[in-house]
Amino acid sequence: MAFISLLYNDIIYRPLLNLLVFFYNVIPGHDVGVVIILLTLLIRLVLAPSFHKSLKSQKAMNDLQPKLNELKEKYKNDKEGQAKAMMALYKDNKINPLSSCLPLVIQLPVLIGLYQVFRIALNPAVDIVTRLKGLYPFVNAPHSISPFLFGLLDLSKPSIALGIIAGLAQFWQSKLMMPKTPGQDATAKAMSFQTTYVLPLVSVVIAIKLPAGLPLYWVVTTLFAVAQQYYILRKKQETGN
Amino acid sequence: MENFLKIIFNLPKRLLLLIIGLYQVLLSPDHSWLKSAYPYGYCKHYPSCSEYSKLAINNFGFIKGSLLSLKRVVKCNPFVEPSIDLIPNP
Repeated sequence: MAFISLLYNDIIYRPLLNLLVFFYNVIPGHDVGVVIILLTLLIRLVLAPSFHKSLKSQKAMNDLQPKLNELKEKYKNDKEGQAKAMMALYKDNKINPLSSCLPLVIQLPVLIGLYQVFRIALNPAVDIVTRLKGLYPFVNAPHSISPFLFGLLDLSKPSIALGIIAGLAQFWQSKLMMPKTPGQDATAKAMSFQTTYVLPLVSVVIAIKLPAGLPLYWVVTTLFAVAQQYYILRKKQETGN
Repeated sequence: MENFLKIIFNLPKRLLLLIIGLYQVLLSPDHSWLKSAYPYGYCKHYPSCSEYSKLAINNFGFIKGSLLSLKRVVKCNPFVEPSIDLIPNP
């Protein structure tokens, strides 16, 4: 367990802390809110390629729907055979609708790391030396860090408004994400209802209890995803398919 | 006594399996209610990463199972081809 916490500290926590402080030092205005927005965009850009790919293949998948349903029917009781046949079909049509678990799995430790950074580095109740413990030697330690977004909102404290905005952004994203297949059965419909309405609500409930820096991260990362989706949808229309 | 030790000994394994089970019910884009957002499945490989991890930890125990699971998740990145990737023979 000690090994894992060491690993977490050096791979997740310290890089995030250092990036935060580095941006804080260099951007004009020294606004932590702006720093968090920049940091989020950076993380999103790193994870963008895998997300991009899976969105792109969704259209191609819709065209293959009849064939897929046929395979599902044929291999009803043989999950492995079904998986094999589907992969062969994807290969023949040169598409890859599947995402990868790694980017998804990485997001969670990043979220926890950010939470820790906000909780410790932005906490005005703790002295600055303790707050900045773990800084690399080449990153200058600022004399103080003001935890405000645009000088208005204290990001070290929970914010109900930002929590609600985070939920709304997520609602927008899941609305966009939902596959518009008319022939869905009742269970699939109920499930997509839950994804669209329940999950954003859960986000709000959690987000209003956390330091507002975290919901800010959530808002930016979700809006980035929405923008990415719009971009891909528009590109598809331009190419005529 | 022997039974008691067995329970203690198996605790890490049980705990990990419980966490994966919770993940599958609550968050997994392949197994939970979220799967409606991914009608063609999410994970690249068959079985999915979480299913693979469950099998690996059940068959090989906490340490080797965890390592196998980690290897599998790392293998599930955007630069590999989808595959049928079953756990090794015990």
